[in-house]
Amino acid sequence: MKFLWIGLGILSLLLVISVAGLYCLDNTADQVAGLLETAWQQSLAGNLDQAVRQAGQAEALWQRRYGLVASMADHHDLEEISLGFSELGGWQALNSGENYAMVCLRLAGQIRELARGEKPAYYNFL
Amino acid sequence: MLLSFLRTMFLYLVLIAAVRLMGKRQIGQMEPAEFVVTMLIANLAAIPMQDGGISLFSGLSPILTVLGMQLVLAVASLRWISFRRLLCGKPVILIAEGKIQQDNLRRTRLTLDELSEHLRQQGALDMSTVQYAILETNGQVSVFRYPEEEPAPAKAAGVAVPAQSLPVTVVSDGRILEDNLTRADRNRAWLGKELQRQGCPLRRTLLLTVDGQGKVYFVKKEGKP
Repeated sequence: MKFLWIGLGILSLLLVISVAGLYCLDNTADQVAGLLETAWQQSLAGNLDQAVRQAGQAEALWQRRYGLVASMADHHDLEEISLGFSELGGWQALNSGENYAMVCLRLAGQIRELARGEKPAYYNFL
Repeated sequence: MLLSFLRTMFLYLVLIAAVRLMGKRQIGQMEPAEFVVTMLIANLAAIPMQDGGISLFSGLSPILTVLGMQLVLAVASLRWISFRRLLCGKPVILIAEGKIQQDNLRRTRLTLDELSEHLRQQGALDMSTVQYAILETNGQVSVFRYPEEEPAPAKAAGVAVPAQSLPVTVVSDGRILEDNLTRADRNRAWLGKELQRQGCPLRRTLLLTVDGQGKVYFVKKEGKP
């Protein structure tokens, strides 16, 4: 019986951690992607400074939650996202609003996809 | 490199713990499901060891899930016979009263060559001497000869044999195992006398065992003192 409890305990713990991790990842992705999408819109509207502020907030939030995200997601995907944030700095320096907007949108999409890929939906399961 | 080293160490310890939790069976004694789980866990552990891109939790999660499932199914097999039958199958009689059960042979997809091979491995060269042969759920074949074909046990032959008991290791690699010394109803004084009798100091003693009849088995360490 002892091993039954150990087995059930391991499975329950894994389930709880997975669900909690997924919830946090989803939450984080939603917030960060939301900020990046706002930055994208601002950039398209010609407000590069406002866009940079929004993107900066997104990056700060992403860095704060990076530990949690890295414990769940593929590190290759995270590297792509980190490179994307670095790219934003480059376009900001060149004062290129359109390219800045494009990168913001791409990043937002990547982050949303990252979270979507972890959801227990049928398309991920199959 | 350092990350790879640390992850490998951690995963190795997890693997050892998982195998310990699953219990002690040799490869040849495992049920097919147990064997598959053991191989599966080993392969799953190799993936995050080699690919640093996979998060440790993502790598550990399948291992721990398989371990948890194995523990639950193992206990379920213990408690419910029907579940055990479902998971492990039933033993199949291949030879009964000296007669080959051809239907069972066909059902288990065992050829006559394979049956002969199993019998030979059990020391049965002549099939006519075999009363029963049973294909166990772990794939091994148990062979039972006719009683008249078996060597007679001492009791049947009327031969008096000395009593037997489990030898207890009291010295291992130069170290005294105090618990075992107590278990063997011996003390250090006895050990000292025994080592003197063997003409060997404690530090040069590789192994010293004693059984219930007082029989001592002693091995000296080789090499330079």
